[in-house]
Amino acid sequence: MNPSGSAWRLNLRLVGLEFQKLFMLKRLGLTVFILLCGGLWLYPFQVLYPNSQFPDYETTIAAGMKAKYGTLIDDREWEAFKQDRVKKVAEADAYIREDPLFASANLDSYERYVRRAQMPNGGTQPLDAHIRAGTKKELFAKLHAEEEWIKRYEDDYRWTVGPGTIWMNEAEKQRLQEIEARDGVSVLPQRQIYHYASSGILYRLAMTAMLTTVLLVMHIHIGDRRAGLDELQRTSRMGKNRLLWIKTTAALLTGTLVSAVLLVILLIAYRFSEAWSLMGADISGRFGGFFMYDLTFLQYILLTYSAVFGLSWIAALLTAFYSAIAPNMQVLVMAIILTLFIFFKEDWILTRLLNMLLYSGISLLEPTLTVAGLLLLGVFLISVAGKWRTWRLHR
Amino acid sequence: MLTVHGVGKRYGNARVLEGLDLEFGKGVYGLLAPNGAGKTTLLKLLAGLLPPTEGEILYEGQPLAVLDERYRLILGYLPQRFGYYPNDTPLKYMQYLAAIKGMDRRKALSRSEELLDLVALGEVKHKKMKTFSGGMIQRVGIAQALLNDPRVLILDEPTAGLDPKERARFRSLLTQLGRQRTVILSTHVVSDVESAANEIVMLQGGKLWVKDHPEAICKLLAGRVYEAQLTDTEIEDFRTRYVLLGERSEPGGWKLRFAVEDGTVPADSWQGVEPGLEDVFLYVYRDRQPGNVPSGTIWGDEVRL
Ligand SMILES: Nc1ncnc2c1ncn2[C@@H]1O[C@H](COP(=O)(O)OP(=O)(O)OP(=O)(O)O)[C@@H](O)[C@H]1O
Ligand SMILES: [Mg+2]
Repeated sequence: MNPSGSAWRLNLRLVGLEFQKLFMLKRLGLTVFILLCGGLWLYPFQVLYPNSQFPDYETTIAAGMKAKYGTLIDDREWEAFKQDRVKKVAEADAYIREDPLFASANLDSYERYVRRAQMPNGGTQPLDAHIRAGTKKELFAKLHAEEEWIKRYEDDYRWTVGPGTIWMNEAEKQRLQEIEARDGVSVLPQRQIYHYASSGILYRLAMTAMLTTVLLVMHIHIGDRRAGLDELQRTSRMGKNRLLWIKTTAALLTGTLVSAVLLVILLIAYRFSEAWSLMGADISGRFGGFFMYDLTFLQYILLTYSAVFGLSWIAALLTAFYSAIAPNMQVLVMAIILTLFIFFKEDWILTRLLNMLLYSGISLLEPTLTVAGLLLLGVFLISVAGKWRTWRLHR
Repeated sequence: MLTVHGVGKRYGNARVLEGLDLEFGKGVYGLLAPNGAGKTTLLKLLAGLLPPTEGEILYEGQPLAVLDERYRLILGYLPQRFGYYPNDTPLKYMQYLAAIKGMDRRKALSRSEELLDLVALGEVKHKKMKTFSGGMIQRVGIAQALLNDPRVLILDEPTAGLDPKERARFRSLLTQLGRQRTVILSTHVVSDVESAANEIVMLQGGKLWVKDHPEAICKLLAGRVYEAQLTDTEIEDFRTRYVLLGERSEPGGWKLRFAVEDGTVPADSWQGVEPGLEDVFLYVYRDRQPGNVPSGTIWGDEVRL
């Protein structure tokens, strides 16, 4: 028969044909519609674009430092950073000295104002409000953010990580020392990790990817059956079994494409935010957090995003399985809804899996095994679907 | 050579086919039987779509299940019912089916176009199939079965929905195809196979009743088919005594065509006629058989059951 080269080409062509059948504009439209009905899908992207109402001075400071000193900041660079503030502090001093309200509060410098504000009964609230209503509002806010920034740096790292240290095992303690022993501190602010991990971007992207994949893949077998192609396919040279795996490949390809498109959207969203310049910074450090792995922010995003690929493949496999065995559309839709529910339900599969990855102070083993296990289950079910069909014929 | 050895088929407890022994070499074989007799079932068995409950089916001495892909490689099959995506054009549809038959892209295209021309659909090959009539769809079905130039061609009621002109075209196509390969088709339209088939296979009660040349089968009723001019009152009497094969209104009464038991002495007014395949069909599957001849079949027109 065929030499294996052209057999491969044929398989690829068939995968392409099945793939084409799945991509219908109508179904993509439906997906978008459902996502819009799901509401505020884009909400988490807002955190990437701070505005005057929700300013993000921390990231601005970090981006500034990154531009000057690179992603790792050493002690000398910190001194330089502090020196740079002198002019701004002087500007604040002048503002305070000119303002009678500060005089009546017996304050004549920025430094004293800050110290007063830190006292338990400092009584600076009216002054704070006064500043926020005044013309130098941004200067003060920036100075304040910088102070927090410096404080964070100067505090002992272990202290920052907090009482968590006492629950650390040996490996983690060792990792902590390793991070501490670096020549400098990573410039990535915790807020960026927090935005990515806790604002729900990844969850929503994962749900979107799964839902889109499911909607595109659900017709893969049942569509042909309903159209009446079954017997033609079964008597064709490829036969139903080879087509089963060809279609499975097409389903996986669909999941891959959907995930890839969403990844591109995510990266574009970052590309035009201030955080983009911080992509090369390490996620572990006094500002970032505590992670067992040396990863840049971009690597961290890609690593955690890989779960979206995994979940889409799982969705593709399960949907293909249902599509292969469902006696009718209603049963298929029910099975899909049930499965998505099980995945999407708070603390069941999706959130648990993503949390394991996002806060990967923990090892990667568990999430990897989870995804791999679910993928194997999917492949197993597909092969069961093939066998089941043959078994029914022989009854 | 396709060989059927002691094949039986049951659906659950319902026995449809029993103890079939058949051989199909080169040529056109017409499977002729009434509705529900098991034609589709037999063809599905021959196409390897269904496994037989008992017995085995061999192609060139090897069981179909063993040949598997090698059998499908040389098989062309037209299901009794098949479908398509309504928005597909026949050309795209054919190309898809060519692909799953393992043909390369260029060959798939040229062969698809060639075959669509053959079934007179070349003009509409870019039209969506949802705009097609039943007969046009059926012709696409016939064309797709020929895509891989099959050695074994199995057609389940290929002429369903075809108009007389297309039927005639199909018959000549059949004769042509039968020269090089095994063509097995089912039908209950006798005229489809009367002239084009080398052999007719008739089933009765799930068993093989006869497998022979059409002329040989017609001879089975030789000397027992008559026509007679009758009045209204005589007709009822004839209905109960003989097997009615057709009736036609004529000035002054009815012209009846009927078959008699072997050894019946004909009346003078009866006129002996050559039995046709249709007469045999009607005789064999007369009312004692389930699902049989509706009385009032108009003789002379095509009989459809
Ligand atoms: N999948 C099935 N399950 C159970 N019974 C079936 C099945 N398919 C067919 N039958 C029964 O088997 C018998 C033969 O059916 P089949 O379709 O082979 O007849 P046929 O000769 O092709 O009829 P027609 O001329 O109407 O196409 C019928 O009584 C039918 O009810
Ligand atoms: Mg049938």
